[in-house]
Amino acid sequence: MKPLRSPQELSAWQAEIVASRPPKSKTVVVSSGTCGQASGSLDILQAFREELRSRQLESKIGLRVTGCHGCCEMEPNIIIEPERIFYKNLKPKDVPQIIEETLLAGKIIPSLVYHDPNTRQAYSPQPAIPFYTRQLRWLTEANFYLDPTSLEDYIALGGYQALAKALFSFQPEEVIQEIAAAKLRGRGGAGFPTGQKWKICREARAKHKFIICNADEGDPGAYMDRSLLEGNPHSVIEGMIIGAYAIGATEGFIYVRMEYPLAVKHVTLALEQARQANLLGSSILGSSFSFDIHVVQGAGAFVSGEETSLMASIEGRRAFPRQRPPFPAQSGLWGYPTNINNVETWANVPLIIKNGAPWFSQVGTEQSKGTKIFSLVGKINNTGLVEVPIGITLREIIYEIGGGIKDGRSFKAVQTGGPSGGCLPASMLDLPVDYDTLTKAGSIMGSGGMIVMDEATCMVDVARYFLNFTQEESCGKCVPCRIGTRQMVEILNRIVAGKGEEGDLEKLANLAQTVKSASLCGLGQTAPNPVLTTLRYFRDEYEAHIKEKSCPALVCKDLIIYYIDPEKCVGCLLCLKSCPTGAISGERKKPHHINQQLCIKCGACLEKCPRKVQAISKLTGRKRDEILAAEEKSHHSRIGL
Amino acid sequence: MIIRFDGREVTFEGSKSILEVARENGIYIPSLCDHPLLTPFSGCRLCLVEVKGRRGYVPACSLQAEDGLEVTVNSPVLEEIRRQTLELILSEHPNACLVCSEKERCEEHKATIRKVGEVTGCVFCPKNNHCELQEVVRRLGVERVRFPSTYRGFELERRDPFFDRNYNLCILCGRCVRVCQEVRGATAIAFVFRGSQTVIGTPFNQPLLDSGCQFCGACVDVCPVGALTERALRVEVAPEKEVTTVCPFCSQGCQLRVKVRESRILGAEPATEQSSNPFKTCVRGRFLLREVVNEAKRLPRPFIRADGELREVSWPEALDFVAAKLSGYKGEEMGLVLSPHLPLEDIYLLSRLANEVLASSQLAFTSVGESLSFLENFAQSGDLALNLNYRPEDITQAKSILVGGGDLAALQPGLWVEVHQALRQGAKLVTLDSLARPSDRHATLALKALPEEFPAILERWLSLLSENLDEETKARWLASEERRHSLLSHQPPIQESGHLNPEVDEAWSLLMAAKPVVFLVGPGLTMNSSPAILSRLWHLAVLAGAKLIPFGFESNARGAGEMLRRLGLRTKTVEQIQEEVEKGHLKALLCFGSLPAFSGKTPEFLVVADPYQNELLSQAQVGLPVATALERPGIYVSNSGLMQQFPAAIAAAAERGPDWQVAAELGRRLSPTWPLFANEAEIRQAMLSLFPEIKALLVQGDSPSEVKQTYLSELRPPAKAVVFSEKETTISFKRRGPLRILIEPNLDYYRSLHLAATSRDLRLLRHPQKVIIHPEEAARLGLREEEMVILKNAGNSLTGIVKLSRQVPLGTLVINFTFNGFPGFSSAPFLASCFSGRADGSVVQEAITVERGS
Repeated sequence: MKPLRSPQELSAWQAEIVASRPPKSKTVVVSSGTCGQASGSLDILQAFREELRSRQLESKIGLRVTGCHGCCEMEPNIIIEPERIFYKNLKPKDVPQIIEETLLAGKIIPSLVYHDPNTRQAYSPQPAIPFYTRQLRWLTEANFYLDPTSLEDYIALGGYQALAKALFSFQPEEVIQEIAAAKLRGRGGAGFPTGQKWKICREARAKHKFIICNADEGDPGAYMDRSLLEGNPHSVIEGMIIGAYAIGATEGFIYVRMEYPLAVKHVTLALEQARQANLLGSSILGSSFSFDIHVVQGAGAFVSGEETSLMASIEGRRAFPRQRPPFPAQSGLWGYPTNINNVETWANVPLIIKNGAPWFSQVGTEQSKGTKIFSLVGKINNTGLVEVPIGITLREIIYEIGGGIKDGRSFKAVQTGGPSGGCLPASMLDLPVDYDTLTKAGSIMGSGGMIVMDEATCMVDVARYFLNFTQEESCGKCVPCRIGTRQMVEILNRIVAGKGEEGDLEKLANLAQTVKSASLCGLGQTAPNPVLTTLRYFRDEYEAHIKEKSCPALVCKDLIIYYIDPEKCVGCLLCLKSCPTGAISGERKKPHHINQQLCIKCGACLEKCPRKVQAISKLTGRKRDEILAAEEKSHHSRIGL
Repeated sequence: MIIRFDGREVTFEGSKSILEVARENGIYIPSLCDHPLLTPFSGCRLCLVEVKGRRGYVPACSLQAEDGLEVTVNSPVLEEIRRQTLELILSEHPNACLVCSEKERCEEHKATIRKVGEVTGCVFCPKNNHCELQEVVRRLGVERVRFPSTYRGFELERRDPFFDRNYNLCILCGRCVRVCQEVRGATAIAFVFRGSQTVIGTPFNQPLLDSGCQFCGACVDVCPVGALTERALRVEVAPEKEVTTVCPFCSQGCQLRVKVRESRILGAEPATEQSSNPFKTCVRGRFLLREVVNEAKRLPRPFIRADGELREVSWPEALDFVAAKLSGYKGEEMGLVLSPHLPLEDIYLLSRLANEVLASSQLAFTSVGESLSFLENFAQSGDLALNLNYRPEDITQAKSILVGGGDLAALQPGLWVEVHQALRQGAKLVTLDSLARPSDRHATLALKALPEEFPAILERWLSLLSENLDEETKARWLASEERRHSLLSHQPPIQESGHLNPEVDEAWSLLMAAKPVVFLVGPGLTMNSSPAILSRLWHLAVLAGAKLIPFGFESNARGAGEMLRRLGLRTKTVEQIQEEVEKGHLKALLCFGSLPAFSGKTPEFLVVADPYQNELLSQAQVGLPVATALERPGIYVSNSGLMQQFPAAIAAAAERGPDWQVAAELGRRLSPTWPLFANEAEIRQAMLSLFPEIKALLVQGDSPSEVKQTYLSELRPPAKAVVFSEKETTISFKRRGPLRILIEPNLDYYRSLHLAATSRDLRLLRHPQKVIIHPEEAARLGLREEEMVILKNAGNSLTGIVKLSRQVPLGTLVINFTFNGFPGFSSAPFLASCFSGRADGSVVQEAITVERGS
């Protein structure tokens, strides 16, 4: 790799790479992000390598290892170019068959293609799969086409052309104008207009300025940033260099959590490649602009994603947030003006510069343009990363892309924005997804976590889960967050244990309000959101827990019992054998009985009871009380009371 | 500029927080985490206010006051937030007493029950009635806590000396962490864990002794609640009065507020209202002051030993006896040894006694490593003298700092706090030392060298410096042609490994990169008082335009040096006095200093005036119990030239008079022309002609409990050229035998009392008897940690305790310097006999042998 001294050399190199790659007849693309590797993609890859070598097909059939393709549910998967045949949930033993039938004979293997879980219809080319058709994959599409460890792949796709354009055709202020005109808003969660943020930092006067890429993605179940850094690190780096040029920064940092080893590896490699190609360092592409980026690994605290504590962490201090103002744009890293953006925000920058603000703002709502990546998880058929135009409705995401709720159950709520977000009920499904509407509904867009819940989810339990998370991850600095969230968790613990009291909900709401308005940083200020939204939309569930001591979703252990219907039980002994505490008694072909004193509510019996029998059920509220009363009565009569 | 608080208009100037402006104007905004001298924390959230035009609620502690702000302090919403936040704090803090309906009556009738380990309510808490949390609860009128209480159940931390840590009372305001990090630069404690498990602690929960704690007590002083409390005061009743005085230990001159009850010193706190020493006091002043007066081994009454019989006598009888004896000697047969812990008045009268009445020049000071003669050498050079006065700003505003020859943070922590402040503002630190020091981790470059390499390093720096000098300056300062030539050709010293040490050059370019520059030189550099080192340091400072600040002196060393200069007297070294005794030239000795017992010949007539019983007294014919600096008024001149006149903290017992009285009474008995003095004020009057500065103290009025200050008048800047003499340009160190001795000075003593002799806590922190050796060296010598070791040279021996440390160079023994204050360990005579200076300026270290003790 030779250092590039001008934009012409970059274009020439791109042409050279493209020309040097004769179109191969077939290429196998193996999705191999962290998620793919966890489900065995490396074994598939190895199998392909060995098979292709032993059949001496290496020169005829290409093999590409890429980042995540988004459809977690279907990992490990491959795409066979040029037809883009999509095979999912592969095992190494499938590989010889794929080579023989598909790669050599051109036939599609029906058992390996995607079937719609609802309609059972088969889809063989990847772009035709409903999961993909409704998406707009501006940022994530490249994950199909490039090997993240190859700068050549990125250059071949037109990479760093946006940087060349920015450096040689734009003044720094014009870059900022372009970003502002595109109405790009921060993808990290708060949605602050990026152009405006850059402008403030540009105008700050200081000897040094820094930019930071926040890759400390900590929301449970969210992995958008990981996918971008793993699958397309150069897009983030290119965005950062353009941003640094616009702002006038001399140094940049990528703060990435150390729990993302593959992302750390790829981004570190990409930085080294960029340095060698003179895309980083002094006189980038022969211009007068110099800039470099360092990788800093996070120390594993959720709060490090908060910008002021992230900066403290980079400086080598405990990740404690501090009061703003001063804002990072005035006084950030080591007191110098600093601009922090999220991974996804930086990845959008080259697109805007390359294609122009008008192109970018063709999709989106009035206030927010472009696309947003969500990690769609929970009780949904197509779990995965989805990229959609901002303004699409929740219903479209959940039903059309996500393929609806698993196991034919019904939708109950969707949680957006991670632990800082809120739970929205079915009545909100037609809400267009953008920063302002979600905030208005009591949730937030957040960095893009989206957890779908079905009818078997207890909303009080969900609120408790998220609050427990923030409670444990609070940095401990300010009182409302450190102690307030703990007191809230204690109230919720009482409620789910059936010990809720009259007035608890008011106390909870009151405390939530204090934590929200008095906490120091975003973590504490948003921590009560799951409680506040569930109180707003699912208050009846809370009341059922407190007043009737019942859990309508049959989740809270202290409020339910497992019960064997003597009418239905066939006396098969299956449940009896599965019970770890010996709580079930009975004889073959006679109805079994659960001793509630001994039952630990593990649910093993319910799982074992044959589907056609369905004698075991969970009971709560009045029904539970009746059973317990009857049992007590019989117990008393047995002991002669 | 104007701010409105709830409509009330107040004016303010300068850069301040809203909270500060409110405080200045008597507007109450509750706060628990803020401290005026620390960076805002914004953690307690009690000071939340609303500001017109800003979203949400903002903490007043971290919001800069701006002209025209309209601040809402009290509104129903704010009050509810504050109350609920306070209740949350109380839910994790023992609160029974705070919200008890009987608390008023309980205060009247309760007994002191603070001896319990667990504090479950205010009445059990040592901070009761001084607690900031109590005050906030009272001001906000909280009468119940709506949340269930949690007792966190931390074990009381008592592993460490001096203070207890009870984190069950901690409200995590972070003041202790901030003062330790921001001000003291120690970072011994930090926030540990997260969420509701968050607690203050040390790395890996090790004791503070192992985590770099200096035991300065600043954390105890800033703790708003009872989480950190001085152990000795936990069970004490309230003091009757508080007197501000000057710390008698080192020459930092920290002001202390002494707590007194029934003529007993309970303890002391830094007088922080005096802004010149916030958080600058150290373990000695903060925790060990009471040892000075409450020590059980005080000398009770005067005694005379005659005809082998020891007799307790009255003061007049003792003085008559001394006067009668002295009249039998002539001039130089008599001598005087003084202590640099003596106040200026005493040094004045005693020096005059020696000069005018005894007509003897046999005068010496027992000062750590002859640091005093170092000061003297500078002071005596008259026109050439550097101005040794300095202000805190000289250090805090420096951009390049050299700290050499000593553990600044242990010897004179106040200076270290100032250095640390400069470092926080971007100054660069270079350290030069033989041993690793805690300050090294703050240093851009920590240069390690052996004492024999110091002159060569300084010479190299001088050589680098002279490259950039113009010819005129060179001609003026570096007198001879050969001298200039030798300087310019000087190479950096070669390390034992045989390599040139490039760090020597790097250190100098770092020091010269930004001005102002300050050199802080400690006893490790100045101890030998070698002209080769002194003149080089002197020239470096003058030619580089750096401020030269020597450190590591006793409380009045600077005053003593100044007094002798103004009286036109020169002192001898302690070794010279001992030699004179040995030779039989010096026959009658009056000792007011901390002289070790004589190992050979003793003077015919020995008078010891000391507050404490010590080894020398057993050789004395007369013992005179004198008052300590805390029992009488006096003047101390600090390192920086600050003259501080302090009052008596407590009254002296009738049988103990001040030292000057000995001079006054002997003078009266021996000389008809000797003036009479009745008290310190009269001596000060007499000193006026020598010290016109005292006028400034006189006009400050008389207060029995406050300290009065003025600076020594500044010396004229140097004018004359200095010519290196042959003696100054050549230096050599020779060592016989394989083992090198490094002398570690310490200032943990007052008069003849080593604080470790009475304080077990100080022994835990730094045991004077520890001989520090590298583990590999110890293995070679067959020594193990904590074992006794006997060191011997040709004539002397010393018994120490082995301490292993990898920070010590191989082949080296580090030995503490002590006089006679620590029983069984007076290292001064042994160390003196290990080194001999030659007339040609070279120093020779004798061979020593090491044996395992039993």
